[in-house]
Amino acid sequence: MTTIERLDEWKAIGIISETQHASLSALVRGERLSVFVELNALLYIGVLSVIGGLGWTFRDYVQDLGDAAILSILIVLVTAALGYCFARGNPYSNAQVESPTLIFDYVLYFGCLAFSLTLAFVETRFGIFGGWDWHLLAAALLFGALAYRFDNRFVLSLALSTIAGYLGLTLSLMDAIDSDVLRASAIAYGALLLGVGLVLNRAGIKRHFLDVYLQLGANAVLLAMISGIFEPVSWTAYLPGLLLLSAAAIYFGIGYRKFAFVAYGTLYGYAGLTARLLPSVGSITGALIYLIFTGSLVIVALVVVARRFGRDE
Amino acid sequence: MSLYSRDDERTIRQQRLVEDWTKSGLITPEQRAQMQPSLQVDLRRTNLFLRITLFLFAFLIINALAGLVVVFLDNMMSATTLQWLAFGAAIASVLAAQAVVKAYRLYHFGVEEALCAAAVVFLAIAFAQLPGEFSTMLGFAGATVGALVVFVRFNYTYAAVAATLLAPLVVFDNEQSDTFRRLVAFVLLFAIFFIARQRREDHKPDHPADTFGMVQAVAWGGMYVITNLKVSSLLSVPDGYGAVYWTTYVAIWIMPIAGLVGAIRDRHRALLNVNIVLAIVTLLSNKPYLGAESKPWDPILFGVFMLAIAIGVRRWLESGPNGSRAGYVAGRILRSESDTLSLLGSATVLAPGAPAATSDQPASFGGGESGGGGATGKF
Repeated sequence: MTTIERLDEWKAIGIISETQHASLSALVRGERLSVFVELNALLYIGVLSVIGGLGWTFRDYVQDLGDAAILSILIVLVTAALGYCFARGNPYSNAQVESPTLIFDYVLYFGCLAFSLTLAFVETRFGIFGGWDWHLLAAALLFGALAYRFDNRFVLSLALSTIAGYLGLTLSLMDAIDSDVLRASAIAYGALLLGVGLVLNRAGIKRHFLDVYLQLGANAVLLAMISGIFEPVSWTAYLPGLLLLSAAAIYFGIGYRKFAFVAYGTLYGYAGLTARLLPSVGSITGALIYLIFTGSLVIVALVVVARRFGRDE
Repeated sequence: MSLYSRDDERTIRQQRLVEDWTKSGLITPEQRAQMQPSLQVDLRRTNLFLRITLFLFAFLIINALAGLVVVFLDNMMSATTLQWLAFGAAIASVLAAQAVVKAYRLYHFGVEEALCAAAVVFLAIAFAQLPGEFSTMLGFAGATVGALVVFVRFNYTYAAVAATLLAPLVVFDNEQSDTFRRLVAFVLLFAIFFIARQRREDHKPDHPADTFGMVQAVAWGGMYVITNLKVSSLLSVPDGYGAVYWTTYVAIWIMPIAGLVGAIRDRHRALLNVNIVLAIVTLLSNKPYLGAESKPWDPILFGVFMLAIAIGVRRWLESGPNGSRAGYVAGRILRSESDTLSLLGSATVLAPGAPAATSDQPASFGGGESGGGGATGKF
């Protein structure tokens, strides 16, 4: 049965009204089509390009333009962008707040990136903060406050990645966590995010942001733990921690129906355990049998979880 | 041919629509509850994350099993044995996938998808060994055939997309000139584009129009990539003929425009999105094509242009009757659109990050990338 036939049927038996039938049919036929996501994507690309271009231009022409001119331009841009947001923004609410206009979120994002550029310029030229630590912390705090004030997920992400920078972490997929100090930072970072996310959620403040905290926090902690598995000596401390955290991720993931965490717990836990056990198997045949046997066990367990809990989403 | 009936496929998509309509406030939860009894299917599905995990583990097991067979037959292993073994593994994998689907009524459950993916890999290996020595051309041909079989039998959209992407790669190992290879690949993709377009028109707006629409968009994107010599120089080194070079330069400007016009006319979202990306790639390819020097302010001009287009289009659409033009609207209609944006917003946390605070390297300025307070780059 086609969707239009289905809508006709629902209208005939009185489930939907004539008006609903007309509007839903128009959506199904594509007679009414939103380009909301596409316009947002263009705005995002536009903002990033402009900021990137400003940084490049100022870097190449700093001698020609002079510090005062560059600083003035940056301050004007930041002031104008943030001024617009405070003038046009909706009042603060703990609940989710829709942006007043399509461009609003991107003006705020632009303002934040321009602020970063300003701090970076000041730090590089005048060394006011005496290093990147304070610059990053200041930026992170401002971005966090603005993200909550204006309910902006892009700026929240910017704040969280800036905190990571402050703690000495770079959140690139290509980077490796390869020292105990960095690992401790990553664990502290992850724990901080999980804690802040849960506390704010409990206080009823912007509950829709919780997922960002949980996803990022869980991955930071698990990634730090699994990187420790490859340490020649201290792996004995990391492995029990990793298995415990993986089990917790699976347990709470099932309990709260957040199946991404079931996946994280399974994958990180299995990978960590296998990385330690496989080298001691001794032969290729043994290693392959290990993978077949343990992999099958995981599949059976996951099928049980999927059948009992995972069918809703 | 497909293991899943068209009615089931359509009902599953209708379930998703009803969920989206409810979240978007277009129907009430009570209406949704009344609709649900008519949207039941006898198929076993699971959550996306569990599906991905099941896929990974099943794929791991299949490959470990194949590895085990190879280890046991190590002494008797020759190219012919490997070839027949790969053929056997491909057939066994597809049969196993069919068996679990039929026995347990699985639908996008991960396990049967891993079996299908493994079958495609095994078939590619078997084909690649056909002439006695390894041939990537036949390997890609095998993978294309495998992906096509999986699409026909299991109706996976990504299998159709994979077949579309793999098909032109068959040509690129041919010992012919680059221009010849590009022409053949272009014609091949154009044929796929045309067939997919016809099939989409036949079934619009219901399934399988969505699948063929995706194939159509991917084929169009592939045609563009083959045409743009700057983007695809890694795929095949251009011959350097002036006439070909400038013809492709003209073509990379015409294709996104023609594609956008067609997508807007056909109300084809996938094609629309692909052509927006292609238009951006054309803008970025312009200077390299002309051999012009990049200027520091180029990204500013590009960014301002993007912003101007977005704001201009929004204003133009909103100034139309009822805030729309020919049915196109700038605002959000469905909740799923906001969800997509939220996901993208959260994903920006993985954008290039800040320098480590403990770094001993001298401070730098410039770049201003999105992550980590924009403190990246050099000064």
